[in-house]
Order: sequence, then C-alpha cells, then structure tokens
Amino acid sequence: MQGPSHLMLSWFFADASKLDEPNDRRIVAWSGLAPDIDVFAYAGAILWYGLDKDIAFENVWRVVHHRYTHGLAFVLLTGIVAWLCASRFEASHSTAAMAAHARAWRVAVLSMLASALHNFCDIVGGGSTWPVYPLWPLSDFGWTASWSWELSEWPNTVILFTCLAATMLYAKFAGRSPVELFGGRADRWFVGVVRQGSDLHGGAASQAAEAARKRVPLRLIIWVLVVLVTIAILAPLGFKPGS
Amino acid sequence: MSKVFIALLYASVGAAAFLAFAWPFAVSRDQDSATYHLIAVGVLLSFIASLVVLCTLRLRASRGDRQA
Repeated sequence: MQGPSHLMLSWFFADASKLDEPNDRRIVAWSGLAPDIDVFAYAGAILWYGLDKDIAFENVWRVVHHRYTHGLAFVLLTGIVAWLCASRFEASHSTAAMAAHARAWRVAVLSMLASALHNFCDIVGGGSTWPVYPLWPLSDFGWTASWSWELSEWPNTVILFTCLAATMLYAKFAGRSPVELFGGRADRWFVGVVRQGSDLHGGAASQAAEAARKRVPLRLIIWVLVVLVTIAILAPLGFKPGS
Repeated sequence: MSKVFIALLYASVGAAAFLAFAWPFAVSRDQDSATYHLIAVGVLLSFIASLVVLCTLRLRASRGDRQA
C-alpha cells in the first residue's frame, strides 16, 4: 500500500476512534506511516552513491526496507514515542492530570494499532517480494503472502483514490481533514478552499472560505496538485489499470 | 449502533495484528494458504467497512453540531 494511503487510513482510524484533539489524531496518523521511515535510508544511499539509484537500491533498499521497521519491536517503539508525545502535549494543555494520563495511554495504544495495521496492509497490498519481519531482532524470519497485491495493482489505487475523496468530503462537511497532519493553518486553508461557494461553513472556516473565494483559481490548483501527486505516486510503480 | 462498529473496527485491527505478527508462529507458515488469504481479505474488508460507517457517523455528527 502506498505511503499516503497508510497516512490517510491512519488519520481516519484516529478520527473514527473519536479522538477529538488534532494533536492526538496527528500522533496516531504519523505512527501509521512510521514503519516507512526507512525510506530515509534509501534517500541517504542515493546521495551516498552519487545519485546512482540502482546501486543504492541493490546495496541499501533491498536489504534495509521492511527489515528493521516492520515488526513488533518497532510497533512497541512507536507506542513509546507516541506516549511521550501525547504526555508532553497533555501536560501543557490539560488541567485534569488523571484524564490526561489516560488519554496519553489511549493515544499510545491507538498508535501501536495503526503501526500494526501498516504491517498487515503491507502483507496484503505490498507485494510478495517485501516481507515483514515480525520478530526482528530476535528472528530474521520474513513473512509475506504469495498472493499479495503489487503496489501498482488496482486495489491499492482504489484505496488511494477513496482516501483522497474522503479527505475532500471531510474538509467540506466536518471542517477538518488529514491535511491537518501538516499543520492547523494548512488544514484551515484547505477547508476554506474546498468549501468555497458552500453555505455549510461557519466561524474561522467561513473567513478562510471568503478569502479563498477571492482567489478563484485556487480550487483548480488544488485539483491539479491532487492529480499531479497521484501521478507522481503511481507513475514510478508502473501503474497498470488493466492488471 | 456506533458501539457495534467501534467493536468491529478494533476487532478487525486486532485480527490484522495477529495475522501480521502471530499467524506464522501460531498457525502456519504456508505463504500460499487459502485460509490465510480468505481471512486476511475478510479482515481488511471488515476494517474498511467499519471505518466507512464510523467516519460517516462522525461526519453526520459534525454537520449536526454546526447546524445546531
């Protein structure tokens, strides 16, 4: 499953779990993407090998990807980091210490579930060549399914587009969306643009919508960006609509 | 109704974790297993279905709050 799908699914999972604080949703959603943090090793390797992607792939990505971050140990690490982030946030914003403590634990557990869900989604929709390593570092056993969909196959594409559509719907009807993962201001701007011309909005979103209305091409730019990002994700995967 | 789908959501995520981490050690390491295939796709579909229902309920609640 593609990275953006992991991120958006985790955000919807956090929202469906009735996390009302944006920071809590952010922690859970980023935890859902966290196992793919090993992509930085690949990016570093490309630089290290003088932008030679083939050597970087053979020497680093083929060895590193999934091995260290797709397992129970990383899920537990994710939970610890999520708990620390949630506790830090709660300590500065909440007056009821006990309730804040319980909420931090809830965020940590949901973060671990999101991280575990990432592993499951990679088994089902990550291709059979990329196993997960459930018990690393205790065991090097890699687990995958021979029937696993490749990244470029239609089920992954359907999930990605459904998540993008749901992001638009959330922005329009709920006044929040996964764009909040990149900051509250970014989300308010996005909500304002999506709600442009709608009479459903109110408050701060209404002001943002008014501002957006004055810049008519913005909506078009958003849609063009969505299409370009989708192409940027799918093109390197050799998307095959008929497969 | 929300509680039922919350339960289904967490049950499917719990099952997903089991399928990802425990299945090869507790049940079978057969990567071609039809049983695993069936259960995994079922778990994914039940996760997506419960997520869609719960997000729809949240959207409706958000609209209701704003219109109230």
